[in-house]
Amino acid sequence: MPRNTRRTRAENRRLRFGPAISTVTRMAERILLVEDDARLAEMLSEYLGGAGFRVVHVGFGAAALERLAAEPCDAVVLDLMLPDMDGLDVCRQLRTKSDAPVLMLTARGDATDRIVGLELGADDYLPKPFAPRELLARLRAILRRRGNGTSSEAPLCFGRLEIDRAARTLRIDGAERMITSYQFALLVALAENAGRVLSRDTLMDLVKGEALEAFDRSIDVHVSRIRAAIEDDAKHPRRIITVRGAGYVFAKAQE
Amino acid sequence: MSHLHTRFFLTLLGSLAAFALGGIAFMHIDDGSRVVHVVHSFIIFPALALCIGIATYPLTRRLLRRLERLEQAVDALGAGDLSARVAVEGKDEVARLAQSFNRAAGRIEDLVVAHKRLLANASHELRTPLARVRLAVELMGESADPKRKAGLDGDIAELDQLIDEILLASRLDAVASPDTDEEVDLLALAAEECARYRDVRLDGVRAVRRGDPRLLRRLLRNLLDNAQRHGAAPIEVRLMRCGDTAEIVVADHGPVIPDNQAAHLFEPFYRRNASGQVSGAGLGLSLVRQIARRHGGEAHYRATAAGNCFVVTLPLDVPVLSA
Repeated sequence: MPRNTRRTRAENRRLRFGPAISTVTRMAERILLVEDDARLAEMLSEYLGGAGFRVVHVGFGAAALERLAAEPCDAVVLDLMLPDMDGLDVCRQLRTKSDAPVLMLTARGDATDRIVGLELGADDYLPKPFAPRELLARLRAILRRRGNGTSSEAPLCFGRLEIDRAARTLRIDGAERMITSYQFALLVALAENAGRVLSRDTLMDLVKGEALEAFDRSIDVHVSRIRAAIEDDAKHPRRIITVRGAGYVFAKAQE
Repeated sequence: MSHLHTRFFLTLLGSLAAFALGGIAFMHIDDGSRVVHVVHSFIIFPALALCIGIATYPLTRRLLRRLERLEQAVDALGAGDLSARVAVEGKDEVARLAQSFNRAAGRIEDLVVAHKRLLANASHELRTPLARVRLAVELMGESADPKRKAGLDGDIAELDQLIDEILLASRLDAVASPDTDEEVDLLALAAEECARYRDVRLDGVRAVRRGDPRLLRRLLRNLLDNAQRHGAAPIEVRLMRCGDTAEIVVADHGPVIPDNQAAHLFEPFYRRNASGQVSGAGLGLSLVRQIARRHGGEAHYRATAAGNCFVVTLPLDVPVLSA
């Protein structure tokens, strides 16, 4: 008799959105979605709603500012191209009214937008067409960051991967992954130097403070353990890459 | 009659009149001695020439300065400063030339601004529906066939890359200044891009230079995509340092490209007939060359006994070209 492969609704939800972030124990977080494309907004509302958020949608920059003044929200997802105002102006004005974290969405492939947006006080940036899971992971990350208060060490986000240096936690798609303290230090050293080849000796130097463990296992073994925790396919790593004869690279562009 | 021409004409006429007056004065002198005649000619004519020179000096100096200012504005515009304008002084030809230059520069600035706006809007118009499709695929959830879902994801990624390439090609033509200029570890970038593919082997030494990381990533990705699409395994990437130059070689073991086709490989929208492939806009390799040149380097193709070699040379420690 064939095995019953039907999943429960909760299982399906967990597969699509990752683990629920205590939606049962606390009120659903309220997200203000500022997006002029009605169909995209509808889908985003459905997707974020399915992940346990309460989404309020507005299609204009002025309406977003009015709404925010009338009713606070936990986070803002802001499209940069709006029919009535430039999203960057909305971000600037929004910052004077609210300290809710802002996640900018943009379809312009311009690095200047990202830089200006982050300078204006946006918390994160995601180019369209974004991976829905990445949007969710980043939204959860900025909410968590605000919830924990401002820290001198902001979490490092690479696609769906979030490394919270202050809390010393590691998450993929919002799900926490466990590694040892030494491996965490090694991962932070790699991530803080993303896009650079680091030799094994340099890595040993960077994690000197975490000593002891370095002597009983080689860096390579620790890296393979970290890979097992963070790579989608540890046999074909895309986040920590070995460069023959040179060392390791932590990928700057990740999914 | 034109103002400038009148001025020159009057100056010339004045000079002739002065010479004529000098000549008449010379004829009235008592020519008792030939020595007096020669002495007079040696004194009067240089004095006259000096007077004319002194009289015309301010005019020519002013004129030359105005032309120099105009030249500087033309150079600035050519170097990408679209706000370069020149002050219009007077009502002569130089003033009219300055007005014409200002009009042309204004028109160019308007066109470039409009072009940039069009690019930004086109990007928005194309990427927003793509975001909808991606979200729709995600919302299909577990009910969708995983194989078909993966295929859709691949199609979305391909379309996204195509949009990116078309917009980037227009942008590189239209925008003079680079988006970002930062230190880029080329070996790390190559390793990251090679990791996107299975069976791509990377060998190399560390080479760091300043540049636009997004563009250099696109350069490497396009070379690898090209090798994957048209070449044959094994694909090898080598990064070498030759003095002050980094050389990136992407080699594959596919059939060698004939000379008549190789000559057109880096042209925009060129697609090889023999490849039998229909995907792609034929922009990949032209972007590779555009990006290499923007970083002061070059891209070329060479056939080897083993197959095909695409070589990009990039000078190390040079600033990104602004044009």
